[in-house]
Amino acid sequence: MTGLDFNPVFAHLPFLLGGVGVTILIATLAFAFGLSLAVALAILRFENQGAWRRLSRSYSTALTNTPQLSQIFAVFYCLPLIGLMVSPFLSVVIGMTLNAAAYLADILGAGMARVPPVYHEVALTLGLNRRQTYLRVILPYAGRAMFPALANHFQIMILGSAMASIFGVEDLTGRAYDIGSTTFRILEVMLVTGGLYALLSFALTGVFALFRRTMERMV
Amino acid sequence: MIAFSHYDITLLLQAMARTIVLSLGGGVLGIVGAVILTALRLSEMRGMMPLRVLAVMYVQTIRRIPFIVTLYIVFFCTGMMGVDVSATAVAIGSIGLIAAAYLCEILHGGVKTVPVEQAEAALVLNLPLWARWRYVIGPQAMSAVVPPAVGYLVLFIKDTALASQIGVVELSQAGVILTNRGLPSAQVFCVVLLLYFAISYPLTCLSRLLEKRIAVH
Amino acid sequence: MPYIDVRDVCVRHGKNETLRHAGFEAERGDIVSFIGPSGSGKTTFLRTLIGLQPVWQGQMDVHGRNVDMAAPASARILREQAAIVFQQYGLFGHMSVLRNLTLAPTVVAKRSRREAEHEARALLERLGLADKADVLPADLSGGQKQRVAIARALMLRPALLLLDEPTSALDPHKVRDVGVLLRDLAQDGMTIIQVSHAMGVVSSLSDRIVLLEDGQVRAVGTGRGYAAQQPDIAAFMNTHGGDAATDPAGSRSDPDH
Ligand SMILES: Nc1ncnc2c1ncn2[C@@H]1O[C@H](COP(=O)(O)OP(=O)(O)OP(=O)(O)O)[C@@H](O)[C@H]1O
Ligand SMILES: [Mg+2]
Repeated sequence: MTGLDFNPVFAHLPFLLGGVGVTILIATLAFAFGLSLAVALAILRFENQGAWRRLSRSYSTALTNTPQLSQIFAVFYCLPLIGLMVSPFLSVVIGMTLNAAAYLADILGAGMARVPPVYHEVALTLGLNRRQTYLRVILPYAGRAMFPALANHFQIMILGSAMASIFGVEDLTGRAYDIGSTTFRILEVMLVTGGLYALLSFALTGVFALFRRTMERMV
Repeated sequence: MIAFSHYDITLLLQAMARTIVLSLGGGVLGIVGAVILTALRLSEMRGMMPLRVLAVMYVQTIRRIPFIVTLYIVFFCTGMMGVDVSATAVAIGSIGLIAAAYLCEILHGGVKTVPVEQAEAALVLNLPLWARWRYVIGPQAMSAVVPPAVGYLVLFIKDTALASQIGVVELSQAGVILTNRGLPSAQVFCVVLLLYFAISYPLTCLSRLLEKRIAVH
Repeated sequence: MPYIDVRDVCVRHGKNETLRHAGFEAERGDIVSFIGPSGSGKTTFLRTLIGLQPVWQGQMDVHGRNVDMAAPASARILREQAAIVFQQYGLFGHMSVLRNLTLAPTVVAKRSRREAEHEARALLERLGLADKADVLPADLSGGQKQRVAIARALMLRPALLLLDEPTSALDPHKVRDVGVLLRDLAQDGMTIIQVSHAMGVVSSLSDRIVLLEDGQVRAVGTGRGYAAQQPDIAAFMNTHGGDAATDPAGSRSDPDH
């Protein structure tokens, strides 16, 4: 076994670190869009009994029971069919958004079910309309109750965004692969990359804990 | 409906079988690994301290690395060491490494839900170690372990799709191959997604059922 | 014509008739107490008055205005003038006490936040909760929650205040404070309808007592002579541990008391 040589990797470290930004960007975009879609899906589920509710549920069931990778592939190969030429970056973000919406809708739905029933009546007697009730009471309450699950899903999305590399996106993993193929030190670069992901994830854990504490103090 | 040829269907079915093998193999490895890791974490013997710390660090770190990166590391590591194993074996090994960490968290968390007094009560009855686990702690931890563990394994089936990146022809890769052969991509991906759904959905239902069953008791 | 005239209210839960042709009258500034055994329909009756409960039939005249309680639009009309304090308080757990109070005034009535907060703090002070403005409801005791819920309802400046067991979680001292508050509010012209199991509060505070039983109004007592006029009410109050001796509000006690 030849020894490990990390020097070629460190020579490319700035390039690699730039990939961390791309990774965060992909996950954040997909999370934000996914969350918006999830809010709509969760409300659809919560407000309706019949077909709409089943539709919203089926969306989550379908997308949580199939791999995100295949979903991105489907977006990547099928959008051109309807005449939409999108970049790999956008394909990945769209695919991850659709996937995230399914999981986040389930999380928000569980949170909304936890809102004490009397809150709806209180909101009504206080004169809040439906939009105000959701915006001021239901969603903030559900969001807080589900904060750990939402934060956890963001972490999952950071890890999941590594799939972007498969489509040629220059995220952290994508750049690692590039460096690996030019320096022929792919094992070393992947070890460093794994370390970077772990560091990023630990940092995010800290940020979320801090955020949560501030949120609780800022009532 | 466009016809898939006989060869296409064979390819898809073989790939689906490969996906199932990856999931099962990785799951079994993961369970074995998780039991060992949890035993390490719970051991109270004095000399075990360093191993305990290592186990916690392993569990905490590996869950924060994307599966595809772990896969590359194991793949290129075995390559560099000159170990001659198939890509499928590498994939199963990688899945096992990660599953062990996740399942260890679930197992460890489940055991912690059993009140300390229960273990102490068993201890003062002079039950031997195996009997304490078999009759007292194990059954009580069950309800907190089994549903999330099944839920996790279901999640992981979908990550096996990434094994395609080291050359394993599993379900998602079969879809790419067929598309590149010129079959209509929309239909190919519909079929691929449906086949994944066929594997995953029954297990999702099982995990929900377990959750309800166990919650009742 | 009475200020409030409720007639012929029928409510059904499935096949169950929870309220059967129930009704009562009240003048402006009255304190009305609903009493009766558990499950007799007190909470349900209160909920109908603020349009939370679908009604089979029923009429309500408020201030000369007729409301068909079975009409879909009635809920909004009823809510415009009334506020309610729920049995379980229903304070929003993710907001501070102050925000609970100012939410509706700022968001619905579009009052300025500063002005609403000023009023809210004054109200909290009056209820002995001045130091709790920036606290989360979870950190309050049961009695404190109850008073915050009352304060939140008062922020709506309602003509009609509904309270479901407003003093059940309070110690005798606080019961007396709330009693004084309610009396003051009534004197300023607010009509108050409360459900109460505390017979001391009922007898000392009420201008009218409505005895419910099995969804029907069994008896209505008016003024202080109810005991003599209405043996049913007197009997109910006696068996439920109430006599005027535990007069919590004090303000109406007779000189020889
Ligand atoms: N949502 C509902 N569905 C079915 N039945 C109901 C419902 N709400 C109330 N009831 C029934 O209506 C009757 C009156 O209930 P209500 O809550 O008004 O009683 P209450 O007088 O307030 O009792 P308590 O003193 O215990 O609070 C009860 O028999 C109850 O079972
Ligand atoms: Mg009641």
